[in-house]
Amino acid sequence: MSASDLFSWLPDWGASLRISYRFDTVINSSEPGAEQSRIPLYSTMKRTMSCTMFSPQYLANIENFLRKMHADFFIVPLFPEPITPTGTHGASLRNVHAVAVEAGVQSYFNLNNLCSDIMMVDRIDQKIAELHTLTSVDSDTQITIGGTFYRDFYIGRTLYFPCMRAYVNDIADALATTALCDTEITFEEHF
Amino acid sequence: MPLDIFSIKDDWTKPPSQSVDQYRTPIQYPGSGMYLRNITDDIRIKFTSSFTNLGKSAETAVLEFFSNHSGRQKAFWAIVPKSYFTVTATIGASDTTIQIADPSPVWLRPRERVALVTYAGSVHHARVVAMTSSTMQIDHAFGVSIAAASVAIFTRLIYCRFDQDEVVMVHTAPGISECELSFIELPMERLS
Repeated sequence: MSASDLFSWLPDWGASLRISYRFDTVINSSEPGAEQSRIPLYSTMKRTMSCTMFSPQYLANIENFLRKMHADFFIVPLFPEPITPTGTHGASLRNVHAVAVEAGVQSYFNLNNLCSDIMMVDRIDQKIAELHTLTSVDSDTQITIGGTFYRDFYIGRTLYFPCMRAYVNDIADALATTALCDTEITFEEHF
Repeated sequence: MPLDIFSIKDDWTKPPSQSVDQYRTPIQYPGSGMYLRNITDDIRIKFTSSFTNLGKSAETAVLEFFSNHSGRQKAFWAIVPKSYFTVTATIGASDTTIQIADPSPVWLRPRERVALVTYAGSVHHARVVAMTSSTMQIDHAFGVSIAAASVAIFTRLIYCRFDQDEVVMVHTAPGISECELSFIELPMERLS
């Protein structure tokens, strides 16, 4: 997985964002309704995320990415679980494996249950992102990540996200003007 | 043994809905009348409730319960939102008789269970032994004293599973989400 396989643009929270979690259970039942067996097809829930992008400055970047990856899998952040690093504003996060973060991460469902990787995103320049292994959620205010750091990220402009391997299921552009549009993208998890 | 009870409070700004499965087959004879063939008397109810999760802990509680029960696979106990009993006097720690208002609007099978949820969030359950127009006799005492004014929910407890394989969390902000959950009763699997 290279840096170009990371979808790192942040969504427009002016529109709601949906994540579905599903099992696709098969049920065998008799005519009176007694159920002999109920078998889920997935051992863990399969996720689908739909979100809206409204980023005039990244319009071409997003379109380029989706065209390039239309027949491939890539890494998508789970946007409802942003993790904000804490510390001195502007301090570098390069080679910081034990990251102090804002309280609450032990309540994040995906981070604690369905996540093996963490994406670092520079929210000022969203083309900059990096993927790291999630080693552990140490406490409500600290996570530990592994892997090699390639770029500089700074406290105050960086977000960490749990992420999933996915592909694009659907894209719909709603044009506001010829230059502005809401792009609704549906990502389906692949495992 | 404690029961596996789904006791997360639903959001009544979007009221729950309830329906009853129809287990009969219409048989239409040519030129004559129609008959209804009864398939089972174990008629089950379905209900759908909405949940507003104000914070990640609430969202995680819903998702963990759904995940731990593998969607439609595993059965559990749930509190029926329709027709609550009204407790009219304090329930003593060793009381097996509860003073209630007229229970006739509440439909109940023989030896069915009831659940009592207090405003503080504690959940108690028992099996109904007998009822009169002003009392309910249960098979064991709750073990704690419960004032009538502290009872938030007192209603039927059904053995059920989720009636959906997919839970959709609609996030209006990173920390706020809404979802709907459907439940279907499993009367044939209920232990008497």
